[in-house]
Amino acid sequence: MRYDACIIGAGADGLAAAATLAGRGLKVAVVERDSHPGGRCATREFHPGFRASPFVDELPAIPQDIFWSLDLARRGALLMSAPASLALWPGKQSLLQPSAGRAQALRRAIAERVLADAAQPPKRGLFASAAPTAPWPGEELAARTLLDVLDESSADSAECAHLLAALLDGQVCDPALAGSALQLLAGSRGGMAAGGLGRLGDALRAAAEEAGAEITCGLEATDIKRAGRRVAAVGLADGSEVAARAVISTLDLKRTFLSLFSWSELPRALVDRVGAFRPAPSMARLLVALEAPPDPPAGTDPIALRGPIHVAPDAAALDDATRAWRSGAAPERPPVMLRLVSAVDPSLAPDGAATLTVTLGAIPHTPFDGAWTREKRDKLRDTALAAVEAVWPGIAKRVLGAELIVPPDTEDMLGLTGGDLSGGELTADQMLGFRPFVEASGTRTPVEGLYLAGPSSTLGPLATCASGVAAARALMADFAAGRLK
Amino acid sequence: MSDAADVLVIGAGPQGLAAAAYLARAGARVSVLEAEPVSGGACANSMSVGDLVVPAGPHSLCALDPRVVKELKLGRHGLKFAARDLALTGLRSEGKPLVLDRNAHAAAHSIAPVSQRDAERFAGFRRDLFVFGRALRAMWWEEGELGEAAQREELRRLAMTSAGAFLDAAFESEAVKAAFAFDAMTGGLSPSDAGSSLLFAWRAAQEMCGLQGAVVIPRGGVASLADALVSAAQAAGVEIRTSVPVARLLLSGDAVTGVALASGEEIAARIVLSSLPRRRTLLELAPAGAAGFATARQLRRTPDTAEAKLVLALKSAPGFAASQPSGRFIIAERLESCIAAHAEARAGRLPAELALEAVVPTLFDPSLAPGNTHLLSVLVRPLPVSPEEGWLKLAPRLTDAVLAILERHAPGLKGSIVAASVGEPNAPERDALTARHMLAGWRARIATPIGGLFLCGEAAEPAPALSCRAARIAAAIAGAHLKGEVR
Repeated sequence: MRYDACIIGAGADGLAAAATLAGRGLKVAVVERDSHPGGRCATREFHPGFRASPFVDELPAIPQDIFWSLDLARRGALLMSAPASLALWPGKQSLLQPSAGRAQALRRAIAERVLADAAQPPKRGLFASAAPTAPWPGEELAARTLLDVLDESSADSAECAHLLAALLDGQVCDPALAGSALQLLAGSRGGMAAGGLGRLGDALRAAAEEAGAEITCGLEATDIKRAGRRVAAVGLADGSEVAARAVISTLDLKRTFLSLFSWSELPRALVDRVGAFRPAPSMARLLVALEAPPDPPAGTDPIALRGPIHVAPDAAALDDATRAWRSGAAPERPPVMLRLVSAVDPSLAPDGAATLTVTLGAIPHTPFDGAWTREKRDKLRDTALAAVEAVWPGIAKRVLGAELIVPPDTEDMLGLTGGDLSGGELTADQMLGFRPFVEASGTRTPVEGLYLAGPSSTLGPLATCASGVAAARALMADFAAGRLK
Repeated sequence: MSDAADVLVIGAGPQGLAAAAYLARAGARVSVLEAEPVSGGACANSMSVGDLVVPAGPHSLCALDPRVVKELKLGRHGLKFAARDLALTGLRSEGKPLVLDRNAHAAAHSIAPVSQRDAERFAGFRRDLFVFGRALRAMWWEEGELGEAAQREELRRLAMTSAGAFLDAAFESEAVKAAFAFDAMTGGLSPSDAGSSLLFAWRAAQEMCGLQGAVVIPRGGVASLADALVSAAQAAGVEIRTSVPVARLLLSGDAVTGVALASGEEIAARIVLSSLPRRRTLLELAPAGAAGFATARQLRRTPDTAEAKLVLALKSAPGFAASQPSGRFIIAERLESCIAAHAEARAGRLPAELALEAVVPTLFDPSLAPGNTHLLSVLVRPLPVSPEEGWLKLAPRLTDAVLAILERHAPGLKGSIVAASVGEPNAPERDALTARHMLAGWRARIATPIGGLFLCGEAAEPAPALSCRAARIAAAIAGAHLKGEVR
């Protein structure tokens, strides 16, 4: 049997694409290598009775229209509004409300642009000379530095450091470089899902399955087969094939082109572009099981513990950490963000206990002196716990267990190159019309019948689900135009 | 008021002199006002190294507009070239230096031991860059725009691309990337600043001695360019006054009416051209508020990092110059280390690793130094703009660091030093360079919010270098104002 579309990866973007296509009556197959769909929308028991989302606590927001058209609320996805973020310095603290404002308007405008382009038949063929395009919303940010922009909206250097920490959320970025202002476009926090992000994954799966998509888990896509220049089928790890008129890949750019195709059959220019694409993995997580919830630090509103807690954000320390990261060293003072996730969602910890996640920024994928050994992991764990101890003295005694996740773990678990959750460094030459590269901006790729959604696509880092919907729309527009028989 | 002139030019550097010469040739009465006792600006021989004197500014030329040389007849006024094409030569701690020669075969041959793939790619890389560079002359040599849509798209891509990403996409070997890293730090940019890849295109758009992208050294040193321009300006009837620092601009409403000198003397003029940086012109010379609030705020930004010049007088030429005399020697370990060094310098510290550009002008022009003495001129990047410890304390540490690097590449160099001198960076006075500035039109770079006041110096160039193109265009604009063609 031949499917209309085969979707590789059952993450949020893949499931949203599947639900959108199947909802229009197309025959859709989704293949997922993990035993469970959801991708980073996962919640896992890391210590008996304690659960947490291993990769992130919050995803970029799902655009409202997609959230409602997929009927996610009825299917059990309840997203709690993003709380204020707290910054704690010795003897000082500040609370920062999440701001919507201009960045959100820009993200919406960019999404509209991608969706509008998706609905248009493609203008160019395989590596034809790039046609001139209108400026992208937010493109002017490429000429500015993030510090410059944040300076304008903050009263003092401490507030600026807090804004920076809240914005980067563990991503690494040198805010004094031209073009770093584009980080503002990265997706805002979309709020925690009640019951953990896994619940959101389940709702998306339900949306896709109820629409009629077939989801196969535990089976890895190994290659994309082509008939002539057009995609024809997806080869699977067990040797079988899914024949399809079109393929949507939600893998990152490098996995999509460098592992699903044999290089010799792709144009050299395409392989070069993909090879030059830069991931920037920089985040480690420590999931901590606590036997009892910690008390609010002196003078802190208990409600403030519901949001992210940035431990002593400092611009100079961030600068040092970024440089250490560049040279492949784990920084002495990495940016640290704590979240008492069980304070928002009590279901994540047993009664009377608490679950804490610690997000560390500027952690290299592979340390310069070799892989992550037990000693290096223990050292990083101690760094993280020391930061927790600084906020709650004496908390070490309450720790029942902890699990550390470094970028190679994320890479293994999610099948994401480098374990970079943003799917590629957010620099000016890898954003907007240049993401992942000029000829593949938006969602169509130079390979006929292959669409790119997921973290490396234009909308990937901006919003959850949006890149999948964009790919689905482009695919339907091309079907309607009779391009993919 | 005394001595009314049509045009006053502030600063008798090469750009100011060139602008003055153009205007005088067009029939205007032009005075050039120079604060220092000698004219020539950064090109004047003002830095002493033992018994010798060298310019504090550039040690080679890469961007001088050939039309300026021709139109102002600089050859007749004494400008000759001693070295016509210094090949970019990357020195490596191990192995032979990388000579990125104009001859594609020689370049490929030199790269091959490092990376076969890069050797194959180098010719194509340079050809593409040169083709694009020639197209860019429409906007960087003239007041025009790129002709083809595809070229405009390419320009937009470069404006978003950092030099690091650009080099990563083109080459695989660290040695080749590092050889280009020095140029990527022009104007205090970091190789990972978005838009820093434009600097490569800008260099490729230049032409010296009829060769695209060549780097040359005039006979008699860069100071001879200043001498030729002084001679050309005087022949055209320009009055050059030295030791007359300008204190402030005189305005009536939003238009300039003349300048006041530090001595108290006031000179009236219809047009004032400033070869000083935009910030100094608008924030220090113009009355407070004349620049406008938002502009003033923008102008306060200084470059992120600085560069300094270190000149050594040596008993013998350094070892690396023996095998490849006509080289512009780049010493940079890795591209990544330049990026890290830039971040360190920005934080006010002397970076652990520095990038150097060294030339040995005496190999082409023995007249620069007596006997067998050789001059080694070194530009050092990136350095802190305002060092935590102050320049006076930093300078000896910087000298030691640079000598240690040089000694590694030319063993025995320290023993042959006759004299050494290091010049203070002038970055705090300069304007910050941005991709937006590089792509703005000439008029946006030359004009100011004050009527009749134009910039003609390095500040109005797309990238900081001695090209005199801004002077040529500013003179044309000023000339049109004088004739009343522009109101």
